[in-house]
Amino acid sequence: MSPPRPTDELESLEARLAEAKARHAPVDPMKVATGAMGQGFRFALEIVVTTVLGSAIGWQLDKWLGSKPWLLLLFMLLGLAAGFINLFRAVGAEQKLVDAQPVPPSVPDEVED
Amino acid sequence: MVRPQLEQFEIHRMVPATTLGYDVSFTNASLFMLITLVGVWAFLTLGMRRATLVPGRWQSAVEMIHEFVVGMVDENIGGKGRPYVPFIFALFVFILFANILGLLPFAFAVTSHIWVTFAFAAFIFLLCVGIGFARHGLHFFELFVPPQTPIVLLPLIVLIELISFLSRPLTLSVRLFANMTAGHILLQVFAGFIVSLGLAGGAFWLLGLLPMVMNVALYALELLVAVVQAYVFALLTCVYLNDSINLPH
Repeated sequence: MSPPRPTDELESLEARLAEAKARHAPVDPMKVATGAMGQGFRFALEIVVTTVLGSAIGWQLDKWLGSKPWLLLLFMLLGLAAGFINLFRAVGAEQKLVDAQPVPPSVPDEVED
Repeated sequence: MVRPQLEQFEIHRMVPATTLGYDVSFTNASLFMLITLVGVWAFLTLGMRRATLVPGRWQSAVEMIHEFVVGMVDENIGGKGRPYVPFIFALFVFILFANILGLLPFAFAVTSHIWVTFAFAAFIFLLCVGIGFARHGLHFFELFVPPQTPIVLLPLIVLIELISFLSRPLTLSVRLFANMTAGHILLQVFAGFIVSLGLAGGAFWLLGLLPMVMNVALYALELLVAVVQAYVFALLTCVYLNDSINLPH
């Protein structure tokens, strides 16, 4: 599969543009904050939904097997655990990214040709 | 009786019709989905009508959206994701246009209905399961077994992973639906304050300026939410497709 930009000239222009952009626009803290908030809401919602879904599964199983209320309790906890595991995984992935980045973020300061 | 704040979400039958006992009437929701489609079609085809190597403004808008989606797919799925670019692109552009069209006065916000968003999410979920089994056969079940799981914990972990997997279509649809519905209700509530303060007489109409300013700010926020939620929906679709295509464990 070919990349969308075919010619060498455009390719190098793209690289120089990216370099110039990186030099002039360092990480925007507002952007980072909104991104983090969005992610936070995402995992908050995920915890709620997995808990509710787990409870629903447990409730239905209880109805079928007549084991009220034990499966409901078990699956509610499992749902809660599922939500939190997703959160922990995301935090772990984020941590890896942060660890991989040199501190402070290095910016190449060579002169543009 | 419907509360006035919720009136904007009401569905009216425009052309009543039933087939095999199902109500398949053409409603205002259908109308706005059609308008969204026409809008997308116009934006894409008119923008690319006189395509040149150095694009004009409209053409570069179209190309930017496409490159954005290609970049998102490459980043989240990798090279194997290229065949799914048209799907993700269609999804992203449709939801984006539906969200933004819904913010116009007198418009109907299609994506503020859970059945619309759930239809998308359920289709994506079935697609992911289908692709997973088609590509990996029964190995697809390895998705529920994370690496380095102690045997003792295995039954528990598999159940947890299963719940987490099954919750995907729900979180995907609820996120979009809740964001759009909440935003529209908020706008309507503040608009109601403006009217009632304006009618209260005397110096109260001056106070009415406050919710007015608030509504302008909220509207800007809702425009942002419309774009961000379309992006998040497409992004999570990529993430879920990645699980089916690359089986990350």
